[in-house]
Amino acid sequence: MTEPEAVPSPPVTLIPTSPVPARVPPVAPPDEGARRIAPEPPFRRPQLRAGVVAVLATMLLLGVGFNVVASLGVAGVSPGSAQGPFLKNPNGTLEVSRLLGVNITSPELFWLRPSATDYQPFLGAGDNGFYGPTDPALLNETAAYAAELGLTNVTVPVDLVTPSASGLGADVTPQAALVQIPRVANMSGLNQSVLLTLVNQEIVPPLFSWLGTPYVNVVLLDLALLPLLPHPPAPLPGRR
Amino acid sequence: MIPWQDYLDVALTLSVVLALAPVLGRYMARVYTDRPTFLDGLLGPVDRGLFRLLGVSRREEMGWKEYAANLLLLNALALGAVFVLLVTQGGLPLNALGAPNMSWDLAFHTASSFVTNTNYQHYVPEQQLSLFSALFGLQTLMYVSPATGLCVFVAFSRGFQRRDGTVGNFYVDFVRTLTRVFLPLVVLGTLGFLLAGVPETLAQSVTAYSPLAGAQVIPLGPVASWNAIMLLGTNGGGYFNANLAQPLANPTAATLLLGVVLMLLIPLSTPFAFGNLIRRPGEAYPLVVTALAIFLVALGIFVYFSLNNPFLPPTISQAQGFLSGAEARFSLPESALFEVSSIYSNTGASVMAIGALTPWAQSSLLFGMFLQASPGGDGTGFGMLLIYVILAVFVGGLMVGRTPEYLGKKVGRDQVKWSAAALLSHPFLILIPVALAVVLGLGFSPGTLDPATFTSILYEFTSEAANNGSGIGGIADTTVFYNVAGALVMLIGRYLPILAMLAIGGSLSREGPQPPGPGTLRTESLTFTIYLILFLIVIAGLLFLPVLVLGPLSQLG
Repeated sequence: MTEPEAVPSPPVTLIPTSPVPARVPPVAPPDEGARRIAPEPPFRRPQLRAGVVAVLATMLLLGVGFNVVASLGVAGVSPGSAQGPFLKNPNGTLEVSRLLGVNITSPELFWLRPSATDYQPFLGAGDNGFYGPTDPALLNETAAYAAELGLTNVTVPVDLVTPSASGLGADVTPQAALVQIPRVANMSGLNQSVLLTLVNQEIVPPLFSWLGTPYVNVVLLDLALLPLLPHPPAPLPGRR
Repeated sequence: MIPWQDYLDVALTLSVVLALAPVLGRYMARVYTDRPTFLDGLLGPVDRGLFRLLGVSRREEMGWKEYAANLLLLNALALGAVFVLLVTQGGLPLNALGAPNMSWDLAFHTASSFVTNTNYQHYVPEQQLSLFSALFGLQTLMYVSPATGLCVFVAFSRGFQRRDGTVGNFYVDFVRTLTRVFLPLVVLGTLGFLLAGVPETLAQSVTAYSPLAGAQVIPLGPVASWNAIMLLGTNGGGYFNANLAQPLANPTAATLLLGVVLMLLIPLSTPFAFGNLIRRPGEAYPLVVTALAIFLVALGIFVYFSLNNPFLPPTISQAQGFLSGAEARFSLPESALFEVSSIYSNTGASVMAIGALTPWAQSSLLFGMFLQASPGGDGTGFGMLLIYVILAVFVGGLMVGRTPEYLGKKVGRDQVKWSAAALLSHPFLILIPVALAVVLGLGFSPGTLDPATFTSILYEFTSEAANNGSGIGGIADTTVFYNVAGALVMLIGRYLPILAMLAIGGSLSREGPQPPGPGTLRTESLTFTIYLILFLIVIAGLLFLPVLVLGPLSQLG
């Protein structure tokens, strides 16, 4: 229907000797001979019913319907995966999302990057709360967090002392985990080589070993570290 | 230093998009010329049922004014319905987390934002949006707005091919866009996100007990299907406040790269669809090359200036790049690819904190929104590119003293007038509200107007005028002024260019063909392609260089 051939009335052909000579100006200049302007098509009132039905159909079939079908489909095919990747306790309750960081402040554990909202899942960072690249506050904050981590005389990876975009990520670069080993060893009494092995085990390799960059999931690293600690870590934040 | 292998997945992803784009383009041309497609057996009855419900005759052709009137009516109905949903959501079902009614100005901003394909979010989804509003309201608009954009693209394209003044039937185009283009692609995209571990559930939260953090209430929802239409439709409004930086929505490099493919797919397919629609497939290449060339230069600038922030002392190692405000599970080239793809396709989804980026990286993003056409959002981005082409042909024609023409149609007063209106509305919509906010001191405390704050205000209105939707933060923008001014900027920034595109399509459609003569500009040539690239850069530079210098670039000083 959208093809000119399909239009019910025969279309005007490309050739200047078209069957509608009436529209050709009688004394047209030679190069303008082929040009004529079709009349403006008739204007009908906009179709209210079509508009209302189209919006409602989009709403019910796509806005709602597709999500319901997809959610029920996932629940039917693979009930465990509907919530994304979680670790489960032995008793079956959800333990921790493999993806979301938590607020870790115990000195015997590896730490995450600073987060303005302390890794509360409902307070993912929006656009606000980031220091500009040349803001003096960026220098102060990075220095302050490095001092808190006890990293005053070493080179600190930039990701460890700056917030992530989401304020929720559980990940740091491998360098940011490795640089914390002396402090964790010092505070927990564990051997540095044990911790080095642990960190190396927890490095997530790139997809298909080359798609992307390796990183360390600090939540999984600390969960692996917990059983090795000689005594439970001092204050466990959030456990009240 | 980032090893060169880290750039391989960037190259791979762009190759995948470029391999798929001509195929999808040909398919879209089939859809819009009503030729048989592989989905007809399944969806043909759905189409016919819908047309009967709509009361639309498939044979009824419309002129551009009738097409535009129906388009505006449908968009206005969708806007109004969602506005009502948002201001009453507190009393509506599926509100397990107790989102309150939105204030009128926030609801106006939000509904305008999603119906205009902008998806600028002044609300916090986890706290201020019920699941009911998310599905019946915002996700519905995430289908309506890109479908509207593709309708505009088709109607515009038909102008080059027809001679009777018609541009198609809006409702036929709208329904076929949804059933034949978006539905199959959204199904595939959703499957991809599901396989990569993105949640898909109608539960709104889940509680987990962690030995590290105690009880944690985690927000959830139909995230996989939300992501698919958010990216394919170049919408960009996140299910979560942290958009696609949120680990649940974008857990791995695989989901990030899938997202890039989904965002760029339709914008880069439309030039090929155009070539097929006008039966001159070769004409697609200058347009694709132009959009890609500018995109790649911007990506290069973004990556280069994100590798190192010289402002930081050498005691801070930036071996993996300047990762402030970036997620560590993505490499810097991956985050950069996503960010530039998102802003240059006017999606506005984000995996980085734009406020934390270096000044040149911010400038490279702003430039994409000044242009809106490399490749720009679904349908309208390509429409803007055609508007640039018309102006380029006109200026080129003046320079060589010939009658300007493009694809066998003479470019006359009407077309140039509408093109100039679409082009010039953009600086007006950005600069006037920015000036107002700066002079009245809105959104920032007195005496704190530094280059970073100015950049924030500039970015806010640029993002809204370009119907982009990414945000930079740094100003208090949830006030009545920013909500109302922003909504108006988005609505004018969307529908004025759409009217221009339809008007040009309609006026071209009335014209008889102009046989090529000795003075005809050969638009398939490399010369024209280079001319077009330079034309775009010079025009955007002339219009916006001063504010770029006042804003991000003065942070360099």
